[in-house]
Amino acid sequence: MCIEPGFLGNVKMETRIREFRARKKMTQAELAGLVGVRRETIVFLEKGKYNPSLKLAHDVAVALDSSIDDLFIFRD
Amino acid sequence: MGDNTIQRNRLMYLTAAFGIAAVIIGLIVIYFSTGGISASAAIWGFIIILLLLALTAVKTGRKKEYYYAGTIIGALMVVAGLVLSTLTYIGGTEGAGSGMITGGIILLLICLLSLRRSPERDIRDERSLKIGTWAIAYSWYLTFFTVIVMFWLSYLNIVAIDVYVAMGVLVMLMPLSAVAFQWYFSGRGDVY
Repeated sequence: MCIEPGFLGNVKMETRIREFRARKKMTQAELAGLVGVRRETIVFLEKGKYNPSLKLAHDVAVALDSSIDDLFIFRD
Repeated sequence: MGDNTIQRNRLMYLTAAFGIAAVIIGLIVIYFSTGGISASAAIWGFIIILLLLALTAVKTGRKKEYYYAGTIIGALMVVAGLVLSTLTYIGGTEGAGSGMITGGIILLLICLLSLRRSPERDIRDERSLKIGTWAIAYSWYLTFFTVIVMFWLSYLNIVAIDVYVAMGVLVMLMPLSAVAFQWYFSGRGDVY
């Protein structure tokens, strides 16, 4: 597989955290408390504006009974 | 009582002890100095040490009482600076008044802004740490750039910049630009 240099830097991140959170009837504040971050971090995560660490992505996925692959979508 | 609370209390006591020591040393130096450069340098050093200790105490305590105390101390520093500026007959204290006013304004602004923050803002998560780190880095670059610009403006005789103006600009620019960058990145969500 040949990937052009810089190509991956242009990939756009979207998340399905809001959808999964709604399924579990959880508020942003509750999710933030579970994973130990501020509520506004969850707000920016849901908007796809914050690029989380692998650890936080894992914690959110565990809190929502999901997986990182399901929660985070990367588009070209 | 958690480990963090014990560690924070220990840091506060240490800060208070250093603060008292700094005040005593400062007073001794001012008492024994004969005026001129040594008195001025002692007063400047005294103001900077006091400001750093006050900021450390306020930020480690993170209690409303500390922020109120910081606000009062900041206001008193501004008033004391204004009074000191009028007492020009004391040898070697020229410029100490403006230093006092600058330090007071910084302390006042930081405490007032901290009082307005919601309790949730005290949670240090990875995003706030990342934004804080980048904000300080950008603030450093901006200050460095400003120092270079001030040097060349002064060197080429375009603008006459004395040491008090230069110090005042740097003392104000570093914390205020760090807060401004932090605010900007917080609004964007991330540092990229």
